Amino acid sequence: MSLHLENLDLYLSSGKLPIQVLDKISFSLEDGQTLGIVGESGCGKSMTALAIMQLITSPPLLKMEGKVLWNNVNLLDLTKREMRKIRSKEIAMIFQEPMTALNPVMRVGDQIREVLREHNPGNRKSENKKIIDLLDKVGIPSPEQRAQNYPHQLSGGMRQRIMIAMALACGPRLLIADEPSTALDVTIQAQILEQLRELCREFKMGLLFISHDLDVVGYLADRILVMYAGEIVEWASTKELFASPAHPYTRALQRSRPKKNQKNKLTPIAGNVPPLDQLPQGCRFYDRCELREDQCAMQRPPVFKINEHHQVRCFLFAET
Amino acid sequence: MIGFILRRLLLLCPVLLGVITLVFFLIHLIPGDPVELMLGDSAFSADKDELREQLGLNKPVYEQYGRYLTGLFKGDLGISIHSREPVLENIVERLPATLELMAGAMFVAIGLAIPLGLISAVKRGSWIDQLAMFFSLLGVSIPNFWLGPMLILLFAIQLDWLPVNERGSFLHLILPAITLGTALASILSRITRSSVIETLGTDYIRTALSKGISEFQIVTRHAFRNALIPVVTVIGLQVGVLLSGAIITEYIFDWPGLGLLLIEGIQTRDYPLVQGCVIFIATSYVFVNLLTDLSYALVDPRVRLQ
Amino acid sequence: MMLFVLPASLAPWIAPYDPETISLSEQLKPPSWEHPLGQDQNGSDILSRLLYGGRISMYVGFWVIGISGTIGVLIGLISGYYGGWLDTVLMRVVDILLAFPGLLLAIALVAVLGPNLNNVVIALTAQGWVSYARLVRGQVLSVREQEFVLAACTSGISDNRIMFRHILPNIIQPVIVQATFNLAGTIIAESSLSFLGLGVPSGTPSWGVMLSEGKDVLFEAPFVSIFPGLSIMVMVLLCNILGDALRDYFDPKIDS
Repeated sequence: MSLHLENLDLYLSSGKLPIQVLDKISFSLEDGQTLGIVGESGCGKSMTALAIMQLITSPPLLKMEGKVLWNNVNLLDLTKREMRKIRSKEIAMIFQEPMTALNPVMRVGDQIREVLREHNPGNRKSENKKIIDLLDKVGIPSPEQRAQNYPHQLSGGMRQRIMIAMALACGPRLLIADEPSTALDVTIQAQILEQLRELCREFKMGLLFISHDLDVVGYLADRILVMYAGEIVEWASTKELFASPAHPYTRALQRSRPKKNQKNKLTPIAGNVPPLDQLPQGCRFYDRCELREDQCAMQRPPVFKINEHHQVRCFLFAET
Repeated sequence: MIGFILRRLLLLCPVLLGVITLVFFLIHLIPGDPVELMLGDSAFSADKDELREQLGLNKPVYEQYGRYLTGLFKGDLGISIHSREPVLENIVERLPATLELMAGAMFVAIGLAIPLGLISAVKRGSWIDQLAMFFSLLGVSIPNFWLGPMLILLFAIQLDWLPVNERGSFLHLILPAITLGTALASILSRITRSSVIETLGTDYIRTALSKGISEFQIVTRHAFRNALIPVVTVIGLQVGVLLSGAIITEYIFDWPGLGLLLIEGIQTRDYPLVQGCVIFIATSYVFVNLLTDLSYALVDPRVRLQ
Repeated sequence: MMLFVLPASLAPWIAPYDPETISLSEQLKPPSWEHPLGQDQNGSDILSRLLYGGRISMYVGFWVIGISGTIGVLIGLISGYYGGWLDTVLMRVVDILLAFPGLLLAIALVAVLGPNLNNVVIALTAQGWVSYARLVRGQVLSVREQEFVLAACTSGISDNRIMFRHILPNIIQPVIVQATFNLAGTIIAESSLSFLGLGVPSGTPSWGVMLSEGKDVLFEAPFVSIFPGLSIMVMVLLCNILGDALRDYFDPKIDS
């Protein structure tokens, strides 16, 4: 069971003009591995996740090109009905906002039951048992009572656990987690991350983990993709990325986060991500880059291979 | 929940007192002598005095007001000048007709608006949507006192399909119910549409999609109930418009309800009757509003905590 | 809109006949070249009556919206800005007036005051100001906490100046939208009262009176009812469309 993206382009229609939100996104995720995607907001990481699940509703999707191969089947070729069979059963997703991602007028137990009923229906009693088991598994105390609660009666952390339980209900092979801990308190955040890691190990489930926080991604992921303005700028194993970050953007990201025994000042990255409808002709990071050269303004850098586990989209690595 | 109801009931008291006071003094501003109206000019002055005594009209206004208030508590709305019967009896006699009419109108409105709004929202931008929204704009703009005669003209006079005038079989109800329900149907379908559209854009609908359940189930099970919350609010708010529209509709169709009773009262200058009708209708409306508030709790579990 | 406002305001000059001429020999004549929309049961020309009827609708609409808008905005401003017991009292009054559904209060008032044009204006204004007051009060409550108002307060400007120069311009847009919809409502309300025989005296050329008269002869002469009803509907439709358009213009975020 593996996921391969090949040259995925995504266009959305915003106003009158089409906007290219993703540009030639390619990566692969083998069974049981954890891949992290990191980048500032608006860089296309969530869009990548939604594109895999084909859940883009607004702004309206204009077109998708390239391939999203799941076990060598291109998900973009599937009919709606076939795609529904993939969702939750093979690939499940959890979202950033546990406050709004659950239906406020449905008991949480019933929201989990819905997934079971869709993909492997049983009788009510066996479903109930399954729901309680799931809630127990994701660390919810007194699951029998909690299943009867409405979302507004639960805390943010609890709700995110419910989301996880719902995602796990049909034993998916891949879990996509889009900033699952960002909206939570720091202590709850750590608990949720730990829980996710354990569950993935236990179910031998692949994890595509998306966050703007390099540390959080580094904690979970085997390998990391760094995205900037709709494209992948660096791809490396976690170890390698932390030890020798290549792309100036990745370096800047590293410098902008607080470290233990911080002595020198934090260096924020100057400037902003260019809007997707006003991308420069050359390198998209050109405006904010400290190491820019003349050719960067003119020409878009291709991907260079540093080694087997490390690729980067920057002219600095052209010689190697 | 019970505490909530009690608190709301308590808040109603000053409003109701205000309504009664306002109507009482308004009616008593009217020049003219009700006793002369009842007995005619030629009656003996002794008879007039006796009736005045009976009705308490020889007392000062504030004392009459006090008597009226205490009477209200016992369900006594005074005596109708015209029928010489207790006003409350007249009202109770006419009430079923009005309720029947309003229920019919509500049925027409909800039955049309919710499916229409739902389809419009799901097929947003399609020709069905545009057609439905055009009709809803037309529907709010048609005055019911014109729609009614036009319906009579078409279905009763030209086509001769349906009976009109007065209450009777189920068939008699159809035209008045459509007349009264059309405006509400238009308002509700617009609200339903925008509410469903808003709901379909929420995060939990995306979650539901990510579970792999069908669009039909998403609309019926997830979007619909959430989208219904503002619709219920509007239904509650519009009961007042329905009540007021019922007066006109009853007048058009000679429908023997409360509204017609009120108009008859005004035409015969039967002021105790007018006063009783107005107070009764306003009071019912206030209680309907309370019921609307309570009905949120049925649709939206978040309300139950408060 | 102008299609209605212009002919109605010019009615005395462009109307082909006197709207109140009675000519019993020409009762209920269907549309003809001399009388394009026919004649009613008094033999009066329907087209002329329609034109004059538009004047009445506009007269009532203008005065009701003008007076209730002014009163409502003032009360809303005062209530929202000062708060306290004054706000409580005013809002209780609003609650009491809102207990009368739709036209009920207006019906009762006209019944007491007697049917004539100015009493219709008074009756509709009595409840009309409430919606403006509630709207403005709500807006004031949200605006007064914003920085620019707080800044104005700390700089020692008088309350009146803050209310009228700083707050009012910021909340006037929804009031205008409300007034447009209110115009539609007022036209319908005036016609309704007249239709019930409680508005302007019968015989007066008002759309509601015409419909009321038409109702009695629906069988023999449906054209008497059709045209005034169409006029009301188109007028109201235009107000509603204008209101929708204004709302979208002022606040493009809201969808339909």
